[in-house]
Amino acid sequence: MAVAVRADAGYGRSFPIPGEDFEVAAEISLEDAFRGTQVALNLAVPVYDEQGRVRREGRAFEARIPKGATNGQRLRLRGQGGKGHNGGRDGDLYLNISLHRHPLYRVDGHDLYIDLPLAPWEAALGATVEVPTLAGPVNLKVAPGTSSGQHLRLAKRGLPRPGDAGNEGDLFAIASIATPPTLTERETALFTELSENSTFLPRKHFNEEISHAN
Amino acid sequence: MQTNNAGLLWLDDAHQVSIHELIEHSGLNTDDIYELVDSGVLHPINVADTPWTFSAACVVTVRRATRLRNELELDPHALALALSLMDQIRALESELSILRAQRVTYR
Repeated sequence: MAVAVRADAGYGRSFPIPGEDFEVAAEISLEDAFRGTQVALNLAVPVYDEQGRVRREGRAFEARIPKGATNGQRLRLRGQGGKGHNGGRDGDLYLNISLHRHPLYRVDGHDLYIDLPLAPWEAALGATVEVPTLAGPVNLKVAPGTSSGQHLRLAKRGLPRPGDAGNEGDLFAIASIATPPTLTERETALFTELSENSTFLPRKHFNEEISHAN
Repeated sequence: MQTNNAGLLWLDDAHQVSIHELIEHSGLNTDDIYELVDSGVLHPINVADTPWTFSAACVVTVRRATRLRNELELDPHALALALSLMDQIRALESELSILRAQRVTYR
């Protein structure tokens, strides 16, 4: 996983001296957000010498990101920042979480979106199709007469939210009708027969809208 | 405060912090917090009651306020303006992210 490097001082140096708060960007995969993960962090933290002069020193440590993370989410880990002095509290660690771009899923909060290409006959007649989810493939029933752009909801198949189970986001499969790039002779014959017998007018509303506008 | 045993707090609208925690973790004082509430930057959950509680997402706002005030020496009005503009940017980014997520990517 990738780690951005930034440490930042949130407090002045009075007695008792609280530890520094550290703020770090952590980029994790969608799968890691789904399961929870341990991240390795590298920080340039301020270190003071006896004369009170500050210098930056590299420090590596690990932090646990539990299930519940999503893009742009922030997490505070109490006491995991710099050490406090003279009775001052230890600083906190702030993680700014972002997710790697995923080849299949797009993320909105804890909801996920996936494109669902359907053959014309699957969209017209209905079908049961296998959809990959972060927890494994599931069967999705596509209703007859499904059009491109329709959102088919797979409840609680998105990212888990912080807290108790049962509070997961949803996965939305967005139907898009895909036509075969090339047709066999038989397919051409069947589509031709369909076109000659179908009464479906997909652009019927064009004329209706124009006549309303006039 | 809603943390687990490891002292972990998600800084989002599903979790809450007290006004004392906002003060403790920002370096701002009570008057600063009142000023940010008056200027509409912070919104207490229980505005009619005391002590106020806030969405845990406000921890991010008050830390940002501290940084802007200390590093750019912004006065309270400029600070409120900067924070409200940053909020608007975040809201637009969030809307853009929703639209991007819902857009079909034709192959």
